[in-house]
Amino acid sequence: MVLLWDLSGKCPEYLKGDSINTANGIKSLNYGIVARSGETVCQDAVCVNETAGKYAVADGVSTSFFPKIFAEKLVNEFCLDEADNDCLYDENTFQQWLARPQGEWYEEVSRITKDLPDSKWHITKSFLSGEPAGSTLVGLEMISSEKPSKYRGVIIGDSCFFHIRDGQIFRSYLVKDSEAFGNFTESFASYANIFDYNPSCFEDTVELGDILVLGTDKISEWIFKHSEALPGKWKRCLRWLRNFSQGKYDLENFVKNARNAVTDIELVNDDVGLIVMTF
Amino acid sequence: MSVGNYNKTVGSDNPSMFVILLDQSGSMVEDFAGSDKMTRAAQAVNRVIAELGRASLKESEHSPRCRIEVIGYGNESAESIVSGMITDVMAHPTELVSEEVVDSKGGLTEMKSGIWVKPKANGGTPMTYAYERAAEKVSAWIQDHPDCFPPVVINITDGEPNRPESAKAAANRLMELASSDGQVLLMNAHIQETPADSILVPVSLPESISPSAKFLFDISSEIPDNLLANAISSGLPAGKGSRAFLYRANAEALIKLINFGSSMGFKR
Repeated sequence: MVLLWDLSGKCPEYLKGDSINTANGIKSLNYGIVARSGETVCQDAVCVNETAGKYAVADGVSTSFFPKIFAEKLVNEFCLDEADNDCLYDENTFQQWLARPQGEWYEEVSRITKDLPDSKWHITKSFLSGEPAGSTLVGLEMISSEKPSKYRGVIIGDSCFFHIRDGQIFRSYLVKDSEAFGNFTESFASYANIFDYNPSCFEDTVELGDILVLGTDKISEWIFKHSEALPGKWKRCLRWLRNFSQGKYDLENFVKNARNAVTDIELVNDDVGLIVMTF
Repeated sequence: MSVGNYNKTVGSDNPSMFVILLDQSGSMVEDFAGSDKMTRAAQAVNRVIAELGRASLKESEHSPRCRIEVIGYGNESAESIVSGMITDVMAHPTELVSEEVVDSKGGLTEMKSGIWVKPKANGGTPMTYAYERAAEKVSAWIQDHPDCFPPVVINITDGEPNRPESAKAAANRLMELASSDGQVLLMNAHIQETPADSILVPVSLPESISPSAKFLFDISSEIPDNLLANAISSGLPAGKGSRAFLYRANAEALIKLINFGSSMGFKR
């Protein structure tokens, strides 16, 4: 399992995965996170467990309390070898699934906030007041025992899943177009039952040539904008996604260029978390 | 009508500005929400600052995501009470007060809170000066940050300005200021101890409404469509065309407006 956030205990500004031939019918796979320009910490988290066929991205809500830690706990939990994610797919039981990442978040934040000096009164106050972290999540599981390859996934908030087939967006969850993105999103909370949001589920099968994408909001908005633009721009976007999955492009440089509108649809400056796989 | 996209997100690379105008006129000594208006209003302002501080946390450090200006007006003048980037403001509260609170596990614990603004009430209601002072601050900010999320100005008052016509003209000049992302958003919260008659984020006002309510309605920004979700999630009954305006609001409604105002531009 590759935990992109778990290097030296801190998430560097940029991380990337390796392009490799992999299981579950996947021909190429790549992933990465890039911090918002001007910020030193990326609040997005990506986790890939190729052996188990589990992939997840999460976007910590930047105005919530220690969101990065919670985003990391969520993707980690989803991608664990032994994780039983079944209860996450049921609106009556998903809170059970959340209990462990919530508990781990609490333990870690407890350690950080213990015995802080008076100058950090606001941290102590937020912790004692029960301020939560929030995070979106998109999780995808390949079910390799079935042919053609089947997948199922779960999603909350404005991080997106794209299934691209025959050069078109065949399915997208939950967001359907670029207009739907705003500054407010549903999310999981780091304490039980304080947000009244339920995750949604999706499933389908993949065919040869399909592309699956898991992305946080701004890179997803950028993909939608290309699909809504002239066909030439969408083709360029598809070519970029394929090349990225094959490790031909560097995510960090691409994001920098796209933010500066070197590509002609500007990528809004924000953290980016992305997984792209081709079949 | 608020003109703009209101699409930018607040961040340390593109900080925005929040201005709070606090009525400190003599009538603020009147009863309100189990205390008096000046105390509750000061608490509300301290809450805005704390909210903006929380929204600017990056792990355990503050990130310079916004600038805060608090301008108090009363006794024929408008004076700066708090002025600085959130990093500096959070590092230097006027006072740290201790209180016992119920913690997240249900036990009693001592907690410290920062205080920046203290209750004060004296003289008339020179709202014109407050809007003019705000316009000076906002104009300078936009010049240095032309692409920021539009500055948000929250006015907390209990009454009529000394000179309504000049106050209206000053407010309109303030609302015409704009970054590349949109015009300044001016929110007005009129507080009064009569919650039964309160009007929250209205689209229009009844014919019979008082001139002072009409005045504040007219100088309150329309909530941009893409910020309606923020308003609703803050508990406000907002819909298309709603104005960022409360009339005869109780303490609960005031907090909702403050939560909404301090969420603007931040990704949530």
